[in-house]
Amino acid sequence: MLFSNKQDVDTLLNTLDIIDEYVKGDRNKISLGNGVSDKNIKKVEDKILSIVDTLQTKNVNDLKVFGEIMLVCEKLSDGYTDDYIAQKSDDEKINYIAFSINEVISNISNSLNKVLFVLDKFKKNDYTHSIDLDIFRGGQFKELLAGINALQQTITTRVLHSYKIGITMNHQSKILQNEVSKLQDSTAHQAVSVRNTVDSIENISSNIKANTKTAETMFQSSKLLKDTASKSLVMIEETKNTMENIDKSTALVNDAISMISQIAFQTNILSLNAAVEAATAGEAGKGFAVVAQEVRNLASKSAEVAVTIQGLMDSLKAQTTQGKTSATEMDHEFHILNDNISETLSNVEQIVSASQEQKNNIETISTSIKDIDYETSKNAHSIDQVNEIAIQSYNIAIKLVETNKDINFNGKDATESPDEIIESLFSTKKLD
Amino acid sequence: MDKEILLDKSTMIVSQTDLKGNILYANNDFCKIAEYSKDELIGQPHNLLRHPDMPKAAFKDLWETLQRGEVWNGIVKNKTKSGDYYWVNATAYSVTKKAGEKTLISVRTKPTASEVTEAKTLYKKLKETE
Repeated sequence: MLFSNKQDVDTLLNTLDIIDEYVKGDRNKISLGNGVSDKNIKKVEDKILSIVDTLQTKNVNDLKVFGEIMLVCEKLSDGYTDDYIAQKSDDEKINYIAFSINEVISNISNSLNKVLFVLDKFKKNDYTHSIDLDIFRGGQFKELLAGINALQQTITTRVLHSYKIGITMNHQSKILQNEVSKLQDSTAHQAVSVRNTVDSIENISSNIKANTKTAETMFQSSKLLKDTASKSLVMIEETKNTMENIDKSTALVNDAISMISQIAFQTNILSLNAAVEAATAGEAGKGFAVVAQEVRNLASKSAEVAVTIQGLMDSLKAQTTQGKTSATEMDHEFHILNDNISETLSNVEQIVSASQEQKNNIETISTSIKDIDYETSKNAHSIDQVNEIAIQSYNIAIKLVETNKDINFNGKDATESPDEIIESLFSTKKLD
Repeated sequence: MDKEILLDKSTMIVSQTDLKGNILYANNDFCKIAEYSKDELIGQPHNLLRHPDMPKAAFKDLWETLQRGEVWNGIVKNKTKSGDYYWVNATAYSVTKKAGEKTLISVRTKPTASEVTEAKTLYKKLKETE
């Protein structure tokens, strides 16, 4: 019989019960000493106590690692990655778990540090950094890192776009500003020219008004002249008729003179006959001869007077003919004059109507040029505003470029000219 | 007030303190039992939870043991925020982290009734000699 002493057996059983409780977790500690009396049983008891000692030491060592694991894991779930499991257990399974947890924390911490580094750079406007995706094999962590890289890409695209727009805007608004400045100059010139034109047109307008008045006066005078000329023609006609009548009367006078001459000739013949007869009668006829002589003298005087009258009448006829010729010539000249006056009158009439038309036209021009003057000054005002806006947009562009200058991103050093940028901005597909 | 809170077998109260006893971290079970939030505990000295029934000698032994680099085990009575109390089976030890920085870790589990009874008697005696 191995256990001869029943008491020793009970003691051992009691010890084993305690161990049982400890193993089941109903007891936290075992503090036992030797309690058996039998020498052989004591050997067994010693072995049991040694095992208890090993068990407790192992449990304490495990507990130390477990305590760390509990802390580190809960810290991790709270968001802290700065702790790790420092102690080692005698149990390699526990060590493996502790090692794995440390790996988890280290990987998460490393990747988060990289994310934080990149985000910090982002915060400082540096978008040139991306994260190495090989830290994780897959899963949400890898997606997170890829997400940060995608964000970097998107921001780079956007910033590059805005940078290019800035450069282009800068370039374009500089051109715009130059052009507006030129436009301002030419508008100012235009305004001066228009103003001068307005003044000139006002001068022309008043000249034309004066001309129109003069032409009207001229028209009235010409009309008077024409009336006078017409009256003169009538009077010339009357003169011509009078001349004709004188001519006719002269012819009648000539006939009468011819008759007187005839009578004087016959009277002379008769007196001659009487003288002859008287001479025949002798002394009786002597008185008669005196009478006959006197008759003969009268007849000769009559013939002389008739010749004188004939001479006067010839002179009169010549003068009448000359007067007729002059009157005819005058009539002819007055007809030409009348035609000329008529033509002049028609011309003056045309001048009057042309002047009137000119007056109307110049008034239209004047109104138009005044409109132009008003529009020009409005233009000048608008151009000033455009200039203001051009300056503002230039400043905005400069600010945009300066803002982008502080931002670091890939593609910033690309040496595209503004024209190339414009082409690429408008020819390639739009940004999403 | 002054009511005993009994721990579960699954309760694991774990805390980390610096060498002066200031709490660096406390786990959820700690907060649940002691009725504090993490923010209320972290940064506070650990003796915030000290129950007046605990003899000074117990803590003296604790600090001396830890300073020797050994593991301290004992039954401790703690008080909650509202003034209740709870008994724990505490295991405390120091851990050296990177750069030689030392911290203290304490793991508390449910004590057995006999352990509590034993401790009560011992502490009463020790208290009387204080």
